[in-house]
Amino acid sequence: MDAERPDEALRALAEPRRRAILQLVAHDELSAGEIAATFDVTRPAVSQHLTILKNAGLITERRDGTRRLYRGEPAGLQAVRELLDELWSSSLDVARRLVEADAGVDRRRAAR
Amino acid sequence: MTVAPMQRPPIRQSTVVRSSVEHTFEVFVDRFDRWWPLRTHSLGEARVVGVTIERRAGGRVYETWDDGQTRIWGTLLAWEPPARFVLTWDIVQPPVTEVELTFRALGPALTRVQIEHRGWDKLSGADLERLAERRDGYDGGWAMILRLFSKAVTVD
Repeated sequence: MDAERPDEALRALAEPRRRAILQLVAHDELSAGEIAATFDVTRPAVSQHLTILKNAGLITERRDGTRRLYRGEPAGLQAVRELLDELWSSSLDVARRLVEADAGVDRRRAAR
Repeated sequence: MTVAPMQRPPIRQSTVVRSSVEHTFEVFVDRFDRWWPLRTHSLGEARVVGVTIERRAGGRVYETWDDGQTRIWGTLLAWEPPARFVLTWDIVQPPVTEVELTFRALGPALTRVQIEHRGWDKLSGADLERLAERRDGYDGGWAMILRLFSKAVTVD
């Protein structure tokens, strides 16, 4: 697993429209045109979203003649799992610092 | 649609805090909304201004929004200060997923805190399908994560 992947997945998932695209291609393989038709955005904008999702490992792209077809990539979930791990890890780190800062205050009070 | 026999183990993370177990527990609970990952683990996300924990078994855990509305997260299945607490995560229906925090004294001023996020395996394939298809106005990170989980456990 690429070390950059969790960050990329996080950035990719931070955008509501990309989450909507992921939902669309979770169970069906769709072309860029079909995906674009579902949203009120330009085709280049959809292409950009698809590129970001693809680079994050969340979808795969397949060529069929002149069409490019996209579908959700289950392995991309590993990145999401790592994302959750990272999320809890950094949250716990924040909590740890809160406790230790508070303990420092108590020690200073006790020393007076 | 069939469900692949995919393992869905708990997500676990831990940290070691340089303080007593009693103090660590107190700060973790008292300042819950300062460290909990609200962006993904809340309903209101940016609208959340506070999280209330009713400190007893059976007590509720809920978030309060900037306009005063509240949204229930779940119920405390276990409340055993300063050792542990467990809350159900009712945002996901059926409420079979839960989060447990355990606090273990490694020394007089050293505490290990573990968070476990479990119950994924109790969600049936049908539950996951339904969750994946749910569009109820909330597009929280949690719903997004579940949709991704559902995607991973179902194959055509």
